[in-house]
Amino acid sequence: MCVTDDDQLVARAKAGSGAAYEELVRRHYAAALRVAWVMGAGHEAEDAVQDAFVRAHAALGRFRADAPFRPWLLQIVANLVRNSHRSANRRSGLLGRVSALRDTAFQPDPEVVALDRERDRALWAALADLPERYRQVLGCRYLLELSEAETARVLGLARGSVKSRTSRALARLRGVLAAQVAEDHVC
Amino acid sequence: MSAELERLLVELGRSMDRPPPEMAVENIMLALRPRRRRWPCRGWPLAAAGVVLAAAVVLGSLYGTPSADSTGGGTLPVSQASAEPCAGWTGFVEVGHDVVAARYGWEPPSLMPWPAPLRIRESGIGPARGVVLVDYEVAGVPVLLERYTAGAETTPAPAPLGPQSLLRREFAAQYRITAEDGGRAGTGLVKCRGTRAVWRIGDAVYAVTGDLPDWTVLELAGAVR
Repeated sequence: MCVTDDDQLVARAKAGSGAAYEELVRRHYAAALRVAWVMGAGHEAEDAVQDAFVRAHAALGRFRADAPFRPWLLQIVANLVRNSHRSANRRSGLLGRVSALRDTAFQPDPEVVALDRERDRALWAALADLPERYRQVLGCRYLLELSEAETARVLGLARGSVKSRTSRALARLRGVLAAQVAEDHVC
Repeated sequence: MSAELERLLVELGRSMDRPPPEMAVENIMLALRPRRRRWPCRGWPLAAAGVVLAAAVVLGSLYGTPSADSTGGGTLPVSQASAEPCAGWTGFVEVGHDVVAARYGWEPPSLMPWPAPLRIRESGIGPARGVVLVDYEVAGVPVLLERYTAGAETTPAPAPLGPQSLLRREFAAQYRITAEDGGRAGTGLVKCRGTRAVWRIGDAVYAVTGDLPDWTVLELAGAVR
């Protein structure tokens, strides 16, 4: 089997190969979807991902040949979701923003994400309880297994901030999980 | 503890990994298709249309070939008449009028301007939610009427009927319909060709698609009850 790396696929896609771009879509769709969830796209995650792939294709001409494709694509997804939040927030104000985050934003599509195990569901619920900035950094670093540099690029942060924020987010997550366990024992 | 938590998070991420839905990939690739080339200057389209029209008139008068459809809206390409307006439906079964009436309390239109339905298909989500597809042939052109019950979200979203809200040529259409208990959902992504109107009546969303003139599509849509 011949495995082509992203650089070759990007070069072929830039030269007009639809098949090469389709292969890039297949390779990175799942990661893009996870970024959209992590950023709080909720039920609009799939739309955001599809939109991101279309925009990325339009911007391929400006993409640097020596740069990795995946973080660049994921940054487009993150920006799209962030921008759509900003416009929604401008429209709905603080109250709408808070309720949107609590009610729907961090809800993955149950048909797509089947979190079978109780432990996974508890972990997901604990992540949902974290402030957005912590959830995003943990999502990028662990759910997506991005490096610190890649996470910094996707979230638009300095690398040092990613490191310190990850550490604080992990501590906070441990606290939420411990509180969940304590609550379960009381009940 | 920290390493263990990090490992659990990584496992959680991997458990969410799924191959992309085929329809999502198709939708993206469809959106990347190059747009039709524009005419280099404004005078060209009219001039070209004039030449084609003149040639058609001359050929028609020489050979007596019928060139207009019964709607009076102009010639319809034969290849379009045999193509389904929207392709890619999955999970639908053919049903009778009685099933649709009992399940959804709705009767597919069959009075002017609609002809009698050729085929009715249905995909149910829970007791009273689902999608009904009704195939027709209007002036020799296949037309599809879709009905989505409450709990449905469609892309493009429904809009008030009018020429400005019609979709034209080739496009993808997507739906998601959730069961009343919120536990299950049906989704679909289809490729459509022609002119399409999507609108809402009460809780239900309707869409009609066919390679027909705008006014015919709007007339058909306006007659759905």
